[in-house]
Amino acid sequence: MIWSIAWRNVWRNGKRSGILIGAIAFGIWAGLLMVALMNGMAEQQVKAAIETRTSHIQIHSEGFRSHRDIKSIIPQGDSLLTAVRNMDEVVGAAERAVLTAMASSATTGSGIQLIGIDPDAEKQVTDVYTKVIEGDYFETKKRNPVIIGKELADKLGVQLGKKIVLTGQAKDGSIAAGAFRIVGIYQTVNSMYDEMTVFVKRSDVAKTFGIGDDVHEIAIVVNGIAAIDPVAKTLRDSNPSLEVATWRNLSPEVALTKDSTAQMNEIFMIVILIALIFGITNTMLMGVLERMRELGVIIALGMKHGMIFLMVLLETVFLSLVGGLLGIILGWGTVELLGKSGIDLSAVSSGLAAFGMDTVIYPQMAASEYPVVVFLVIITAIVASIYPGLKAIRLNPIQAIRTY
Amino acid sequence: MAVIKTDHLSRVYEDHGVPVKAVDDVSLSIEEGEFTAIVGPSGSGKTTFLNMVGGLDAPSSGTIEVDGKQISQMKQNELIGFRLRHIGFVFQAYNLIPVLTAKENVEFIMLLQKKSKAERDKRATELLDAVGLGDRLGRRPHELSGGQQQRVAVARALASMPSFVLADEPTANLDSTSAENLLDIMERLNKEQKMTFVFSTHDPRVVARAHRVVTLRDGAIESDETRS
Repeated sequence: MIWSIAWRNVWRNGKRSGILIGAIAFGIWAGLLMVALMNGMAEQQVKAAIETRTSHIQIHSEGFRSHRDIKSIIPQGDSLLTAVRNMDEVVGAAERAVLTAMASSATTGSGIQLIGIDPDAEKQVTDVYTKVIEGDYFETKKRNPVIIGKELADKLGVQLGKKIVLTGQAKDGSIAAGAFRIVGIYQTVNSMYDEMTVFVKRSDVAKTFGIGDDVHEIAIVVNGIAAIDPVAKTLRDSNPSLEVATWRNLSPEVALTKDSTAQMNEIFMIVILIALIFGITNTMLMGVLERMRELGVIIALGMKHGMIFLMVLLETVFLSLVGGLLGIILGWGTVELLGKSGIDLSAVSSGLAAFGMDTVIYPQMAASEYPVVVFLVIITAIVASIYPGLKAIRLNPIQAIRTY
Repeated sequence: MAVIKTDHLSRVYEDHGVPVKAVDDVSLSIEEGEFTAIVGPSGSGKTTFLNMVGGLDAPSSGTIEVDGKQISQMKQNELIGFRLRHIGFVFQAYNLIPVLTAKENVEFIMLLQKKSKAERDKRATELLDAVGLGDRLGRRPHELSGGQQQRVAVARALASMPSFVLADEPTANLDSTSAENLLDIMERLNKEQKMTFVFSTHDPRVVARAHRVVTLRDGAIESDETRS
């Protein structure tokens, strides 16, 4: 019956309870939407980093990632590539030649990272071929084809079909250069990557810079996030002289964003819930003060303090849960809806691209996060009920009956 | 056997630093089955006396024995439990729980006593029948008249099977017909169930029905008249 009394007490002042329920629902809805938006941004950033830049795993020779020495090659790269491709969890793998070079047009030049690829194999590990906005992805049969980012094209003042000169150190230490024709211009969500990364065929790099079949990098895609660490460990164990790095090692800033988003979301929700505590406490306190006489009577009749406190606590939890569940349902609906249509933030696209983010954000929320919010709402209600509950049990029944 | 026994009971309040004796050296014994009215002008100490006997207020000096147990020294939580088991209350302003129906209001006290659902159901129905509200079980207080609410309050007071019922000005808010009706019911319960009733009252209708009338003046017993 105590549950029933508490539930009915919630609805004694329907207007007041309704306003508070509305406030809680709005707070939870707004909180969930923000959290889902942050999740969406972080996940899209990770997805973009993996699919366009890092793949899941990369293999290099020891120290290559720090000094980028043209001579730091992966010994017997071809046989390692075959071994990698034979692993069950591996979906795709591609070998690359990676050089630090200079791209020059008739008017200006820019430092770049030159990546020599086998286009068909590369399609298995990155999605740059889907980002080509002008021209194609090495399909045109032209001599020395090159694909550059839109950002670099703009910087160099070149268009599709024009030539640029790629200059770098050859394997023998001399300076080598070659003229390459732009056959494709790509654009990813990361403007810095687009400015810095230039793709040519591996065979053309070998010819121009005298590196033969040298391989500097093997990029690997596995069949799911969960397989990354086990595959990386297997590769490390079998190739102790090589560096095996996961996307987290290769793009620590994105990994940090992903990890810190979860923490930021928690802080954000807690701030909202703390704000709600004050509102709930205020309403419950009004409810208790209004019923001092009644509470005095039930204490006089023999209701123990623990039961009185429990009654106030249950009222608060019921009230908060109604608002919280309403907010969660609304939040879930909004996230589902916007998760499909996305939120277009193209008004601030340049800012987002600088951080490697897409301009259309798809909010997302794991189903497992909703029960956590319900749990937090209950905790909020319990905390909010403490002061009104204490007020209720501390009253003197005689004074309450006589005064109120 | 005395259900209530007070010995040199006094209650002194501080009023702006001045001690005021609300109850002054009252020694009184109320036997089982009595129908007693405590009367006196406003400020004579009736309500204070009832509050102390009901375990709601602590005496400044003297002792109170209820059902052979000293309650004056009991701790707060112990007193709450004691009130629940031994004392039935009827208040001037009915004080029913507004969100509960008449039957639930009566059941409420038995719920606190942890009685079974079946027992609560049976006794609440019987008691509301006994006070003439057998057809109003599902009504909430705001759907009942003042007289009907006070009858529910009487049924609630009896629900816990108390040793006695303390009624503080129970007819003060009722019209004549409702007051007479209520008194009829309480008198009948007193006769049939040997339930002890102690009233504080100004109401001559209550005084006229009482078997014993204790008059207080300035906190002390002025007269104690037993009628046959």
